[in-house]
Amino acid sequence: MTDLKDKKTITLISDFNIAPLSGFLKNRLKHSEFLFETAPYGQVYQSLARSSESWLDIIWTLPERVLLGFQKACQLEEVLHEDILAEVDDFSQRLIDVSEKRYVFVAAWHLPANIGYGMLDWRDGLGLSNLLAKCNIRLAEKLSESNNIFMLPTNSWMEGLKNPLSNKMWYAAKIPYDSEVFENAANHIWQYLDAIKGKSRRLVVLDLDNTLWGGVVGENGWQGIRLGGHDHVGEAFKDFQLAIKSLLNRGIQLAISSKNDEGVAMQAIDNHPEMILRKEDFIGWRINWNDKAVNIAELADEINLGLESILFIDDNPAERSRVSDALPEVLVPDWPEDPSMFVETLNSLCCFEGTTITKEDRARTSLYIAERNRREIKGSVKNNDSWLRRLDTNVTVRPVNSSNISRVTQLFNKTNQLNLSTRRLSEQEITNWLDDEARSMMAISVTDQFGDMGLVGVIGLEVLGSKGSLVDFVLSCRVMGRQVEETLLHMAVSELARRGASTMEIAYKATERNGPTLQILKNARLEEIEPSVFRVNCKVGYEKPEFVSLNVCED
Amino acid sequence: MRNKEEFEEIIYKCAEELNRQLSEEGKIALEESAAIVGENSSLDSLGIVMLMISIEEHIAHIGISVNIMDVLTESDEPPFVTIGDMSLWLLDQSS
Repeated sequence: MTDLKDKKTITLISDFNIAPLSGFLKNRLKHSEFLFETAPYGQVYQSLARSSESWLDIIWTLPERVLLGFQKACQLEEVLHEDILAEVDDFSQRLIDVSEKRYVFVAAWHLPANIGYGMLDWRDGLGLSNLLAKCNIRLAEKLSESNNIFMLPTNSWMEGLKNPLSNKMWYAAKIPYDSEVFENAANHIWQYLDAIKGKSRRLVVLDLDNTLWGGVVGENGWQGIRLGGHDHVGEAFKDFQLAIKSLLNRGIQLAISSKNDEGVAMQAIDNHPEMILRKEDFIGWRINWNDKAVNIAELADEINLGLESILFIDDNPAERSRVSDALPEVLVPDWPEDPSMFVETLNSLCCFEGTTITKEDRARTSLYIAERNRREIKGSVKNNDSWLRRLDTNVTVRPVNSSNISRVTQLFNKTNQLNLSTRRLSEQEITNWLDDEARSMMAISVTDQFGDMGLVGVIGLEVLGSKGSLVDFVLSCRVMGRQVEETLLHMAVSELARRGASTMEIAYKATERNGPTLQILKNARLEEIEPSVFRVNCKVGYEKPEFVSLNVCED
Repeated sequence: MRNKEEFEEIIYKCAEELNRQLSEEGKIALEESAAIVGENSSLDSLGIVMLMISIEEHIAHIGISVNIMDVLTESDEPPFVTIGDMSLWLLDQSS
């Protein structure tokens, strides 16, 4: 349990009675590091203007209460949409100001019930539906200026509910929604908080028979499975594959764990004309008759991913139960038997949330396939030096700036193993840290003969008098073991020397998972002046590895 | 023919839903003798309002219209205190 002094405050700000959301969140997160406060009822603008120690503000307002012009529009008075959009701009600016100090979640506006112009309600310049859509779009566009603000999809909290709005509760307690809406909101917000902490699911391990297609390929052959075609069951499986494939574009990776004959299963993947997912979409597979829990643990190990980042989907309850018992960190949802429910079930998991989507995310599967090719070469060459020479690794170093800060923030918050201090920083916190001229931060990109691995590392440096410090050393484990680590040490020492430091100190701060960082520092033959604190003489420098080329860019 | 158990089930269902947003000390015990109004109730005033409205909405689905909040605010002595009392009172109102 987290000490009270270490708890982060989340403040709920609303112009209606938001007690139900507060209650659900407190119960959902009662053993977490969060404390909840509710701002005085109805005082949205005042609460935004007030100074606060809050870590996150959750702002949920009703458009007819927070926008005066919209209130008039609800009375069907003639209003100029542009005037109301100016009110949206003002509201947005206040949120942007707040986001300089803390994270902000803003619920998208939802149309009040039973009002409007009926068949004219979407008419431009007149209808309320049309106006509210414009207001939400304007709000989203304005808020995109800040990476600390996230606009939440209120509609998804109401989907599938028979009566999301509660008139009785509104008149009696100023609560506009049914309690299920607040419960859904709390569940989603809980996932969004995990996303900020870099704890979302990043790998989906899939079964094949009756999960990706209907039927058993080992019995029916690939021509006999149900997938696509003029068949309602086959179409449902095909749609599920499409939904899974779209995850690749969010940076989620796919793998297979199936009890099957590999050759037979691969024939289906390679040859079936309606198959959406092909071999190149999977970063790995275990198609055999072994225990699926062992297979999943092996896959996680192979791509250096923690089990808490994995989602396992299987139609067989016995397999789900086995994996769930053996690997409790893996998310194993109940799975419906009816394939027409698969897409809806996948979407309801809400476990792939991320605070940003970078080009590295979108290319993640191809990056791992390139990595598999590197490993294959490594197995075929005589020694490590020959392998490193053949890789032809090129490291490019650039200052952290507005063009790369999203990815840098992501690395700070997701990297566990190669992370010197495991500082978890928001974009704003990084910017604030860099305000001091004694500090600098550099983003590291790596390419080799197999492709571009993208932005994979960050180093943070500080000079106080003649003493330099390597404050941050964050590197994706994707590039571990190919002398990029030593190249960064060389770079850090050179940069500190250039800025007048005579020594560079590196203080390793242990966490449960960053043991590999200490090993790298020990292997780098640095002087260990006290346990886990290392020093390098900047005048002597640190030699750049022979097989890596280094390119330093000024912008 | 309606019976007390039918209303008791509705009250339990509404109490269970409400409990999901209440703190441990605020939760309603799911038993006939649990006080839901009055000084022995674990609910605060907002909790009572939310529970009563939820019950009103649920019994409306079986065709019974009772304005429980009106009755509670207009009477000096509430007509029920426990879950058991309330289910009997609702049975009486429905007949």
